[in-house]
Amino acid sequence: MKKIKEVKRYANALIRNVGIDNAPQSINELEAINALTLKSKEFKSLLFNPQFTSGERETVLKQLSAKIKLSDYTIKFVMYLSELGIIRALPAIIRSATNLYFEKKKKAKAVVMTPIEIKKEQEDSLRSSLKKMMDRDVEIEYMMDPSLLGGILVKIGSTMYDTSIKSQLRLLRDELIKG
Amino acid sequence: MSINIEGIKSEEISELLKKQITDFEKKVDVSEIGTVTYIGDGVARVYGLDNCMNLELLEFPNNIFGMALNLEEDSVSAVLFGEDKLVKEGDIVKRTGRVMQTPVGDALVGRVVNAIGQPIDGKGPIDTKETRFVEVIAPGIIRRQPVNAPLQTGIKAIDAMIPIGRGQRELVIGDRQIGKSALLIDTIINQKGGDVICIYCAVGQRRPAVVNTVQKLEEMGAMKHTIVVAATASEPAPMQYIAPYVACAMGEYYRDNGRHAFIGYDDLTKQAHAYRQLSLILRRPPAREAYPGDVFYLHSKLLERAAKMSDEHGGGSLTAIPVIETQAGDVSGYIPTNVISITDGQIYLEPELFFGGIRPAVNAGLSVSRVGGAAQIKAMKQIAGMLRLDLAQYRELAAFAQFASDLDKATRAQLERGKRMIELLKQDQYVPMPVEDEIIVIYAGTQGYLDDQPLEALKPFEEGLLRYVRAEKQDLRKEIVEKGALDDDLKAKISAAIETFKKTFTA
Repeated sequence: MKKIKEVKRYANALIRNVGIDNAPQSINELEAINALTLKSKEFKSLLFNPQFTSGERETVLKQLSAKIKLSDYTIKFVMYLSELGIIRALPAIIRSATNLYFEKKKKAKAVVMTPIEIKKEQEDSLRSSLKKMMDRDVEIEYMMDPSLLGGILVKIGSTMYDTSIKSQLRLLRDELIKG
Repeated sequence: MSINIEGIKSEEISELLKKQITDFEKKVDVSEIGTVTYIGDGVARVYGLDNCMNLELLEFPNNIFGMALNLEEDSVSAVLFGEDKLVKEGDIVKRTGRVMQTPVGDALVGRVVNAIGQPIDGKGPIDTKETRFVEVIAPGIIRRQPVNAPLQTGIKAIDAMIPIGRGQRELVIGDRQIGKSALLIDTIINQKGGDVICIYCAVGQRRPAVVNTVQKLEEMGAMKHTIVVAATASEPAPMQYIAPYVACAMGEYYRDNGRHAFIGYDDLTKQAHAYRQLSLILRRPPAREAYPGDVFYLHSKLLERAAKMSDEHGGGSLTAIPVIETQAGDVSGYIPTNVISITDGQIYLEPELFFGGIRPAVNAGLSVSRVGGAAQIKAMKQIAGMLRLDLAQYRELAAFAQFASDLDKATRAQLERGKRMIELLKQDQYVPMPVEDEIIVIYAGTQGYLDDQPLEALKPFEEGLLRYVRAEKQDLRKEIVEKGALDDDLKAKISAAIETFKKTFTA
């Protein structure tokens, strides 16, 4: 669809301008801004509402920058987006930029869910086995979910490896019903 | 139905369970997943699912399944076969790697199921062994043969003038409340004791209407050979969209096993409405009357699956009678013209006839059957020729006779005969007739045995005649069925029977 293509274009431009090595930082900054819009209604309306002038936006963003350290480019990017009225696509742009970054760096992002805190040596062995499996570097995001009961659940892209007790129990239940 | 459970000890049950649990293999559950980003009106948009195939079955939480209909750059749109309130944004969706299937087989006969083959009649689970794909491509030319056997509807006007063959698609079209469904139900009732399994697919009807239909079929003892597939108006649009395909898959089971099935889609207008709703929510471009561009294919792929199979492939058949509802008799609408062009003929029911007391309100002039003639039994063909001629002449003269006061004797006779024929073709609901009775009654009309009877006496005459023949001339009825054609000897016998009865008949 048309919208997806546009989102891709902005994501591409972002990465090209900040350079591939600075990309994670500016993506993080954008994510912080996105989180702020979700948190504060006033800030959201500042960016979304066309009644604010770009001058007003700039002062606010500059003040913000003093507090959470935003790079100039990020501020410009956000201002440009809000001026064009496509700031609402920010989450999609962030997602698209992240994907682009991983693609260029030949990395993959994995979400690992465990019921308890994971130990250092377990983490290392997990990282190496995931690397072997995916044939590329893996950036891991850890999440705790006690409802898994035990085992581990790994999501990479649109594939899910599930060895958690919760899903084993579900499979067992299905098997028993089938008889 | 009670099962003796006293003989089973609880230890035995736990032993069984333990064995199954020890056999259970612990394995890594690898699945491809996506996340729901939009949900509403029976449609879900799912982000991810990179390798999802078109029409693939997807597993949503709470045991709800969906079907992928739109594959986009990094998302998939799917329709849900279940309550969409149980799925929410952010839920995880799994690929199943399968396409949709439905249970089929004889265990379904006598049952009422919903659009995904689950029982809804409260008679317990259905023990089917086989499943079939819901969306399949219709059999090719090599696997078919021309229609050659009749499907008796038990309705005089149809069996005589617009015969339907086994494997044919014949459209029933007309306004609301004009007897379209009644026609299907009579046809189903008429298959009682025969070799045809009937499937009644109710789409977008009111739930009480379906209940009434099922009750009526039960009452008439017709549920013994019938499956009812119901997707009522209260169910989500995807269910109404898929129901005809599910019903068709159930019918194909009989067709491909060398048996005969009849399926009534009641009605396809509602299915097109459901599909239009889905397509608009799926953001497919709307075309004429906001239907999507493939609404023709929606019906053609369904109706093409009705077929008469060649003898090498078992010689089974699937006859389809789709129903289309028109608005104020307008058959030139989008959906009606589509379905008219797909089917092998149509039965047109007309409000003027219906309110003029001619029921079934079949318009003999506009109704045609493009292949059925080859499928009529010879005896019926012999008398139907006369009937059609009488009616055609009557229609021609009736228009002309309105202006003329003085008519010659021949013309008057012609008009009188026509009036009697129309009277003769009237038939009550829920009383389909065996073909031999139809032949005797129509024979009496075309041979002029009714010309001296007043019009109001025709109905009692017909009833009396059939009662007499059933009581005293069983062998005559048998002979008609066995011979299949009327030779001089048989004609004489029928004439004799009619004359004997006529002597005893007083209006």
